[in-house]
Amino acid sequence: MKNQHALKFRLKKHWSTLLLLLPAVVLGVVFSYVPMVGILMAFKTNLNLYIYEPFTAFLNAEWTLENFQIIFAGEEFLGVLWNTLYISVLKIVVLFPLPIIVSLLLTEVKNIRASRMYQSLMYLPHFLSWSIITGIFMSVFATDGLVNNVLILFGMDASEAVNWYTDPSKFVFLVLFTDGWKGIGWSSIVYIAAINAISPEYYEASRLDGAGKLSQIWYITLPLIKNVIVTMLIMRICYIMDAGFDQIYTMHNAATRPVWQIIGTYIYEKGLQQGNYSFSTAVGLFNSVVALIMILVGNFVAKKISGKGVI
Amino acid sequence: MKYASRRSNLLRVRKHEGLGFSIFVHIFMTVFILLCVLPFIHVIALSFSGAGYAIGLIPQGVTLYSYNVVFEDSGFFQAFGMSLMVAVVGTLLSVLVNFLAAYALSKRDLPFRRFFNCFFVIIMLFSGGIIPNFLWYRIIGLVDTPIILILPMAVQFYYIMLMTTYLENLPQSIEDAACVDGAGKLTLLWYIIMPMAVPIILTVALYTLVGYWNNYQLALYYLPTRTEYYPLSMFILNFINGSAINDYVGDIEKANHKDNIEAALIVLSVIPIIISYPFSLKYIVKGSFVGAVKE
Repeated sequence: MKNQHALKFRLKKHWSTLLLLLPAVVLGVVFSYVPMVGILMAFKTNLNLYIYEPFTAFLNAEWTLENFQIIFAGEEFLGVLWNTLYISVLKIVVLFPLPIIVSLLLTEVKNIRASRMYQSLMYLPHFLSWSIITGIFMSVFATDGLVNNVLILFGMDASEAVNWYTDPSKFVFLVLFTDGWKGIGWSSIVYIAAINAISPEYYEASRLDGAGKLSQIWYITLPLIKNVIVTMLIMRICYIMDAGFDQIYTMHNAATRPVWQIIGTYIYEKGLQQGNYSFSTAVGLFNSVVALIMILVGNFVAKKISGKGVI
Repeated sequence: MKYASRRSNLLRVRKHEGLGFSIFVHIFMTVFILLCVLPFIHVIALSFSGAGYAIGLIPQGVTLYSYNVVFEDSGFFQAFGMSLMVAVVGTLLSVLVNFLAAYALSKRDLPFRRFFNCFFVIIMLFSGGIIPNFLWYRIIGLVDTPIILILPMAVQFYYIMLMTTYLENLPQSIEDAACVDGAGKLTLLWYIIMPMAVPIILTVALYTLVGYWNNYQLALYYLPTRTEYYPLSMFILNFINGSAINDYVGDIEKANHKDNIEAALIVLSVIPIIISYPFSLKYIVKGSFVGAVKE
């Protein structure tokens, strides 16, 4: 009874504030929630959009579990899943530690001007679109591009110069390299903030005890930013199902196809390019559900470890 | 930043110690920065070069041919205009919508506050997927219209959270005083809250602007036939993937300069970002701290 009264009171006080939520809620319903109903397509035979409008096509399709049987039975999806996890895991193993190293070294730059300059230049790549980044590096790694020229300078035979972007054996390297190029500087911002927040007294005290730079980093800085590192790592692992569609789609070409086909590109290709609408939706649903579970579990673990969630 | 300067003042006293380490740090950072910057210089050099040279970091056979080709092609200006339109309109709309929502959610005694928070979290974590979205947008007639480049990205819960956190920490007393003076909700928002929230609004606006400017996926998914609505990012993608290159089949001169033209295109599309970058960096960095250290 009391609660109801309180609610009535709060409604009266805040009805105009609630109205301010209206635009966001309407946009959310129209552009995110209503399409979620379409997930039901995953349990239908393929929609025939050549004959029908989408809605009629949906009603006319039969209910079936065939799509999921194909996903789990076939080797094709396994290969795609493998590529996704392979690229994701490599990205974490290779790229996750780098921003930490950069931030540890950058915060040792005592000249404020120099430090600012380093920071502003290393954040810049983060603000470029993937189509531009791929454009840039396609010419850097082209057959007659910068990298090959430098390699030839250092004694590589000119006939060995290849276009790195069309060489499947170099593709994953390029994925890691460009992702690192775009992200390392920007990702280090979190650690820089954390390190700058450490009280200078710790370092003072350790100096008296005769600690050198490296032991300061190892025994003071790293333990004090451990929580941030763990939180970021968990958050990163949560997104393991996303190997980076926006990056890889810009880099794809026919020659490297077996290496780049990840879940994101597979969904796009099956659905929008080949018209297997229901199957593509089923793959998407599988992907979203796994990703969602990962994020919820990750959030739970992060809360247990550091006392706050990552969402 | 405050801490950084205090710390460095304390440390300046014994600057002469650890010189070797300090040199190592500067060398490391310089190499890292060069890795970030050299590809740009290469592309700039390439864009000003003639065809057939092996370009390092210095342009050879200097010519403006590539830029002339890009400027002659009406497609570039069309795409540039579309990007500008999408970025400006999208940012204004998105920031307004998210700001209003953030203000409402910053009131701790708002009825159904938890419900609305959940409502937005779900949007952030889960989506129908490309095909359900595509078909629904087709049903409501938005596929192949420029609107589809703006609205699906408008509500961003992460930005709502950033602004909510900021607004929660504003002094409630000023707002109460304005209410006593009889200010309506919109007057209050416009004259009292907005001016106080300018820093966070600018931060979010910049993130949103970059998000719209760089996005190509919406065009890729939802503009299947109307390539004339492509924003710059998608236009460039089409170019580097070779789909647009067919136009040059009959023109050997252009075909030879393909790489240079591509470089010119990239340089031109990066310029707006480079120009605005120094002015906006302060706000961008500030925002990332709010998000990173939310204690």
